Amino acid sequence: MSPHDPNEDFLLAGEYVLGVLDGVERDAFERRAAREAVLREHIAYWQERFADLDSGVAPKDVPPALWAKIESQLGGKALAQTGPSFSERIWESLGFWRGASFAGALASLLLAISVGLLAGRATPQPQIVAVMLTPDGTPGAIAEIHYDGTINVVPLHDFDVPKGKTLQVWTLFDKAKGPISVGLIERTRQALFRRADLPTGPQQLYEITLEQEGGSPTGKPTGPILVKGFGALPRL
Amino acid sequence: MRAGAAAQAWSRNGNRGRPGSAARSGLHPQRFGISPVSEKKEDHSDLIVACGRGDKAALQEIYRREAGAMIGVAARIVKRRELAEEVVQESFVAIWRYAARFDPTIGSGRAWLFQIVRNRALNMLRDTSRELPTEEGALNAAVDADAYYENAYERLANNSALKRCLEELEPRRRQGILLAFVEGMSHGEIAAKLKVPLGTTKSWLRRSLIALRECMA
Repeated sequence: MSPHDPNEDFLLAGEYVLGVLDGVERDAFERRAAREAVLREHIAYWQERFADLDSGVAPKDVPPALWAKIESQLGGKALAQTGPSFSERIWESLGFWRGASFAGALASLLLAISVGLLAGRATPQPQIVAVMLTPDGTPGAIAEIHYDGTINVVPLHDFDVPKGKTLQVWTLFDKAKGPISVGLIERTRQALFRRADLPTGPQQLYEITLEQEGGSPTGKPTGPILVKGFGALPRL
Repeated sequence: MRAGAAAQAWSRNGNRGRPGSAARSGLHPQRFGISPVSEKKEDHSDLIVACGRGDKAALQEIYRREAGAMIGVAARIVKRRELAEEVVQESFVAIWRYAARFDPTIGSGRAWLFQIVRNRALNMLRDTSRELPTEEGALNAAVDADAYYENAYERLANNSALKRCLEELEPRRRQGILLAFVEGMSHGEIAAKLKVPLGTTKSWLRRSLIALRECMA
């Protein structure tokens, strides 16, 4: 039996939905399912077949404090807004993007994907890749966002980080909330962030700004934007 | 108690498969037809998609609609109320994180949500580093633990295709399926409970899956 026998996969999906795969098998199957649409269809098939067993459950009382606990883990507490800051206006402005040619962005996306693959790391393939471009449209950094919530940021050239300053990585997934800090990079080098609390959608904006040591004091970008770019699904 | 509403939800779900689409080739599942509008509301797909765009209100709406049922599903697996609440808490953080990966064209939103809950509950159940303290609450919870899988089976609507097909299984094989899905038991635990060898348990479950597929085609 080949490891990817379609009938075997179909039953494996059934065992996955039943919940009898052990942790290692389950992780492996989920990783494959993330890449193989047919497995996701098999899973959906079994989920629908067994759904009645969940629908029939008697709902329990929900403790009033539960939502607050959830919300506190979602990251990004709402900050009092006193009008858009300089960088927020920049963030919204399209002008930044007009400088970057579309072809250039596409080329750098391909470059970024090959960087990730050629690096030969043991980490799994990224869920999302964002290529961050400098204002003149050259690739300045990439972010690889993994399923487990790790965000790997790799600068592609040396940023000038004066003494007393630091690089700060941001992401924007909700305009109402504004950019949320991913973390700080002390100097120009690869940095790994564990941010399972952040959503990881495609079309989510990432940027790096220059901030004072210790990070932006306001919790929002205050310094100049060095690079920025949208996340995209790598076609692996 | 919202048993009435829940019963409605499952009888609708029970009729989800298109009656005319029984013919299938090989083992490949038939994709479901487009759901009637009345079902859409229960499905939550739109809310999950909105979460993927960072809409926290959508997440809260899913919570409002399903947190109670989710605690119920998690409690059948982890057996203890406070652990079930913890599972649901973790699940909502995961829903928020993974919502952008949800593809509404492939499966139902509700099934996707409950898969997350079940996976988190299984993780907690099998996390050997976690010592489950024996408190009064745990003992009380253990009293009705035995009834979970039977209850879930009995509560299936009479017109549920799943119920009809589970009925056709030999009782111990049906029990195996229910212990796995409802109570989150592993192959080993089911083998111990049914007093059959591990290998037999595995092949029983597989053959039961095949029988269910054929019956529910």
